[in-house]
Amino acid sequence: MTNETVHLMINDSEVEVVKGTTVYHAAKKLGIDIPIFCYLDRLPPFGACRMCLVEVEKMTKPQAACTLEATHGMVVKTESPLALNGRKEMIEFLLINHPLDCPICDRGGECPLQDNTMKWGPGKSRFYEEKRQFKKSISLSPLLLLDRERCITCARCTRFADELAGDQALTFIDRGYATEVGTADGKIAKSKFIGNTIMICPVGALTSQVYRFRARPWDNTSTETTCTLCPVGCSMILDSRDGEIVRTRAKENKECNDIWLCDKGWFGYEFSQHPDRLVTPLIRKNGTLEKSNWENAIGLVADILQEVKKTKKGAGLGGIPLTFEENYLFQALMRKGVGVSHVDYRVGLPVISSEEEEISPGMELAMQDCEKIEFALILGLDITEEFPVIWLRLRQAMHRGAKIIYVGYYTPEIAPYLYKMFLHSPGEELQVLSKVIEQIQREEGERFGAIFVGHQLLANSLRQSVLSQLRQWKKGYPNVSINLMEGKGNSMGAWIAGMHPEYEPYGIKTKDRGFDANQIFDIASKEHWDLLYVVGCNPAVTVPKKKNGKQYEKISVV
Amino acid sequence: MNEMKILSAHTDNPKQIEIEEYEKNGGYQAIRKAIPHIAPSHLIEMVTNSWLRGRGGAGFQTGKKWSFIPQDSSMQKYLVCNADESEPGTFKDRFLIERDPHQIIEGIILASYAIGAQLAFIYCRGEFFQGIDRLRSAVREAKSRGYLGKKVLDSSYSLEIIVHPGAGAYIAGDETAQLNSLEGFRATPRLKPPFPAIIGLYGKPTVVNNVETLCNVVHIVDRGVEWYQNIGKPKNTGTKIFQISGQIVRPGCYEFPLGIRLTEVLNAAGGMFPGRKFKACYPGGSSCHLLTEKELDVSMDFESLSAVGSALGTASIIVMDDESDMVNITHRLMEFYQNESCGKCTPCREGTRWVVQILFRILQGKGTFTDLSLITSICTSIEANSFCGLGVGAAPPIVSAVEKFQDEFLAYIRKNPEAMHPPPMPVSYPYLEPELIEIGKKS
Repeated sequence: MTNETVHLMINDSEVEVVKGTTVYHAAKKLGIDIPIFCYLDRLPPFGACRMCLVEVEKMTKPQAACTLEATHGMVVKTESPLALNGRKEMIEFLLINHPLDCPICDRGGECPLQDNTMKWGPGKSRFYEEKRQFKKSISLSPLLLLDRERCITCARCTRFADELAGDQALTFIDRGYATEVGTADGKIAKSKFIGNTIMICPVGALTSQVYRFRARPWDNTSTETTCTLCPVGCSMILDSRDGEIVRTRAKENKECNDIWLCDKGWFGYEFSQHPDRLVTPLIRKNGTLEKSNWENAIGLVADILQEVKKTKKGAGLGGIPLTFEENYLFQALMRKGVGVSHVDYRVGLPVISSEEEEISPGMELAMQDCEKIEFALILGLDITEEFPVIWLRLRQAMHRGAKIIYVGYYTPEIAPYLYKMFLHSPGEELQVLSKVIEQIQREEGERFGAIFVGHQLLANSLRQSVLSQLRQWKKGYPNVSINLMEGKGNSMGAWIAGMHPEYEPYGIKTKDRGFDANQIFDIASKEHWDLLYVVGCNPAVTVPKKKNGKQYEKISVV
Repeated sequence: MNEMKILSAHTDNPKQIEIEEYEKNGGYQAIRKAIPHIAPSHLIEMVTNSWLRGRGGAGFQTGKKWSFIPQDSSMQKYLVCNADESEPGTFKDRFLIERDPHQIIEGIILASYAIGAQLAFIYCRGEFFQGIDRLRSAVREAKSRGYLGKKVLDSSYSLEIIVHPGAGAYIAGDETAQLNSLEGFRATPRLKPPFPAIIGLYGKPTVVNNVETLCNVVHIVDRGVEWYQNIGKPKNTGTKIFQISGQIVRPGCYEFPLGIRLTEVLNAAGGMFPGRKFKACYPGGSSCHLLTEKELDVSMDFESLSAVGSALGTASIIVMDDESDMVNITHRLMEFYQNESCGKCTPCREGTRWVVQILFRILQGKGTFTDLSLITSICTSIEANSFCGLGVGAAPPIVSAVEKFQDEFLAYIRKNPEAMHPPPMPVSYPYLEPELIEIGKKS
């Protein structure tokens, strides 16, 4: 990339942009609005919808601003009669076969086609023929519905599937005016990112099966929050109507998820209203759980905590699905209120001291820098399953030429996009890894790269040797970052909030070291223990049976 | 004027498809002259000086197109021979493929040698079953004689040719759509720039040339640039195979130098049927403006036809006599463009269908007086705003027909007693009647 700039005139104002910038972005820099449908700045320019027409001096025809590269001395008029007339005609063309069923469309109220029609459209159509019609919505997947007659074939969804998700879940069928979105094999769309296509659809053609007909956009109250379903922690917006969550949306956050979510984020909210969800406290009396009220329950917990304050035989476990603030309060309750340091979030996770490993926990690489790397080594990690949104960001790096190398036990879903793939059986990790590292050092040298270490190596007895090998590599090549892709939900937040026997909030080493999760289970199974305070985790499920088999019998209260 | 048979010199000989016969008639002499005695850069210069212009319709100078290819010899480059001939009225490529396939192979070898491509593709229209067979056997024969494969004619140059049948799409004749199709994607045009000469097939520099263009190269090399320059007119050199179809006595391929008058071509084809009068013709395939009697004396070359508002295109003359119905013809043509539109850009996808609907209504006697200006307005918008050449080509035949034969359209419209008012808009609710589905779909 050169830093050469060009000057051009847009609507009589001069603007200086880097060479290679399109007229659309140059106009955006000046705050000039050019309507678009097919263009999405996360995808390469396409130029299909012809909505962004502008007039350029010395060119007889109107030009598409989203594909036209700004050149020196160019004179652009975005609102000349030629451009405005072109846009009017495009809106008219788009609407002749659009059903205009906005009153019953989920997109109504937040629809780019509606907005652009109001702003740029002719207001009156000259179309008197029969509209293109289809049988009403068809289901493309259990989550996705398609209303074919609403589609304006901007190809955003198919291009997202090709260029970013890489799963080719959606594709065009047939051609010309009969073009419709569908799946290549006619079966359901298999994708981990299908929710994003609903978001980027500029009309109401793709809609969510879950949200369908549940609310209009103006009914919803939006709350900004963070997704806790995986350690990526995407920013999102919860839309609720009458106190009930009706949908989730991605919130743009360049430092984390860009504008994307995975389908866990898009559709994994229904549990909050599930009829089986526990909403009243239950207290076990004579062996059976009985319904109680919060006053009794909190009183009971307070009494037990008073007891534990004297005996010091109690521990707090869990915190992964909790927010940072809740984690902080929980550990403060245990540490300051009760006076025990036996708190740990690592229930069912490897209990490892990161100080001994000399590697910072989690990712070294900032999430937005995932788009800038030149090569990535993925070690035993199913990235689309465990950290889906990071894959979308890596795809952007791949469009800039980054190579992805994979080492693991089995072929991952992303196999078609790998530069190289090394499969090996369990036990051969070290030999394979040293071979691969040597090869990468030879081929890539000092280039900016990232290693993503996954569960196959982290929950492994060879963990220490693998990590020391990687540390060794990093010593010679500082441009390489080591990212430990472990944990669940908000485990990093829990660690920083002090839900850790060794650390107080903000990673300050504590003087009063408590027991970690494994020790708590060990000790509690051997001697009498007053309280195991479990919040937001289920040790009966996540901890191996041989570890927690009988320990609850010696604990008075769980 | 008599025909000047250069490309079609041996097309009447049924044995010409065999390599022995082709060699006997002077075939594969041009590559012996060129490889390795003429340097590739010199070959490009020769073709540029000969003023050979692309025969696929656009008329871009072939030598210039080749010169855009980067000179870096280590880089992989491709040549694609565009044999996806689908323009209505055009059948010159099929004629050459089925009757003289070796001429094409020789042209491909020369062009590939000039640009440094070691792999060439022939993107052949899928419906040319015989043509594909003949091209494939020609490639086999040429390979067995050492004209193809490793070390062409014992030089250090090597070349392979792959014959690839298309799957039936007019749009795949567009060079970038053809590259997409060849790569296995939907045949939709790509964004230009980058032009194929820089980023083409599989992201590598690529030249896409028409069958007839490549055949011309053979004769330029064989008989010399000066000889070629003296045929035709300056800047419109060489011969052109004119294909004549429609209401004419002897339709078929006729080879004349560029710059011949339109009447002479028509006379060569036997003229009009007895008792009929010439009414109009499309001079260059269907994607150009109509010519009427007034323009019969026009010189058939790129510039002269642009000057009268039409285009030479593929020099496929579709003749219509006084009994033909222009409304029906435009409806049929627009139906073709509607069905062949790839659906990528809005104006072409929606506009072509809209015009077909209006023309159909006019044919049914339900037209209104505003329809003609509406058709012109839609077509102008398609032509101005489309992504690729398909939309640009779809408008002129309709616009010119409406302009030059307005009376015929009005005669249809006058059949409608309600022509002063907008027509009632038909509405159906397929979602209320489950069995009545997919009205918009092709039956």
